[in-house]
Amino acid sequence: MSHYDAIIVGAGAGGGIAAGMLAEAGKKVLLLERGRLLSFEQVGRDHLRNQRLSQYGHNAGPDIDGNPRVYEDSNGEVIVSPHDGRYNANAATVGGGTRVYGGQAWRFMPQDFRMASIYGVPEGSSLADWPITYEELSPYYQQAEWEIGVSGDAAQMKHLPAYDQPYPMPPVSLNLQGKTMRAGAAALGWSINPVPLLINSEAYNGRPGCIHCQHCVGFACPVDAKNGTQNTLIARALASGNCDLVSGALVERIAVSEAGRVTGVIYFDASGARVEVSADVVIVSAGAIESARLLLNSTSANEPHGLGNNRDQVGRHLQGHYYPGAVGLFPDPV
Amino acid sequence: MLTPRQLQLLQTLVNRIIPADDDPGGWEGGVGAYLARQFEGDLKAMLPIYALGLDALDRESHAVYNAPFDRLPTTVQDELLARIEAGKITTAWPIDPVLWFRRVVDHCAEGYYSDPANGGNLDAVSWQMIGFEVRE
Repeated sequence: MSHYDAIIVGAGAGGGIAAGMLAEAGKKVLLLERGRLLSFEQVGRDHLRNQRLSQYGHNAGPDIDGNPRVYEDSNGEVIVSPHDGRYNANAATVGGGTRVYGGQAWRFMPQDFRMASIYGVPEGSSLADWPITYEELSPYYQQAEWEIGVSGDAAQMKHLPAYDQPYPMPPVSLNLQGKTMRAGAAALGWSINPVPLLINSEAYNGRPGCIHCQHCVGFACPVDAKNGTQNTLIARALASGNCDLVSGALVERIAVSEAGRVTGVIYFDASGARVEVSADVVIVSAGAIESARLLLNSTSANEPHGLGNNRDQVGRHLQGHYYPGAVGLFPDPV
Repeated sequence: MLTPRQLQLLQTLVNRIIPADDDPGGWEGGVGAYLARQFEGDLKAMLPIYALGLDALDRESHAVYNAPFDRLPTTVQDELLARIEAGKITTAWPIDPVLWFRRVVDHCAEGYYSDPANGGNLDAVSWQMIGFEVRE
């Protein structure tokens, strides 16, 4: 059986960064991803089947067939496919959602870490303060902004404490829609700032700046100016020679010894073969839903209801992503 | 399959949802070709719904204006469609007219604006109109 210092389950926003950091620190890493490594052409340009508008499918996994989830509400249970909104899909490909995202790079505000203290806990809610503060997290925000590459203007982020360092690149220039929004906000007297974006406004990290091509969120970047883990930390992990990336690998469960220690993982590779690998450490970074599924599917004598689940909290308290929107008609083309 | 009569109604309807101006209307811009292809694919299950809706549209037109939908002046066609969109119908529809109209509008947008590989947006006509391009 192969042995690694660390096995990372999920090559997305979290796992990709862990892989890069550990591999460059000299650790032997196995990075498992259930999706595939997708080229620009494979992500494609289908406006009806992408991770932004998934009318009839999507373009960055999970595959529509063979990856069902059960959605449950007061009407009962229904099986939903990956491009159904109720599935709450994260892209399943090398880079995860960062392969196709729009790349907004907001820091949380200090208040976000203390919502329970500031606003109180609504009845029936499990809202709690974070165990860390903005000040503790701030250096890591800065590190991520520089290593992955964010364009913005720190001086204009007036809703946050002053930054220790500016962003590595100036803001991406505004398009027509952005200029329209900015003029509207100014007319209302609203304070505004450029959106920090994980998009190169100029050449950075050996890749070019944005060409303003109108083909962005939901898709891959034609000139690779959009920064995800696939072209930063995962690329660095692979370049270090210390990381094996296996895509198309679906992890069945985390292996646990009789003493209750995690010893590795068991996964199915792209050919369907069952593979067992051992490691000192297993990092579960498969997204909120799949990480919980994997932990619940990994039982042992000590933890018969899943790893870390002796208090029945794994997979509970899932917070979805709330998207408010507005539609308007303008007299001039925007 | 839609009957020739239903197809005629569909073409008229699509070209009121996306009327021609300096640029082609919805049908000529690719919505017809898009729907023909999608009725064999993702929208296969919608085909009978389309047939029911188009027949109901024509019955509604006869009931309100005493003429077939595609013979009405365009301003009157728009008036009738606005009533259907708001659910103000006078005949018994076998399907929800508001929902049906909304779906047809969505499908028109899909066929007219989505990438030409989906069968519509002929010669990328809508992309030229709005200045959309993907550079490589």
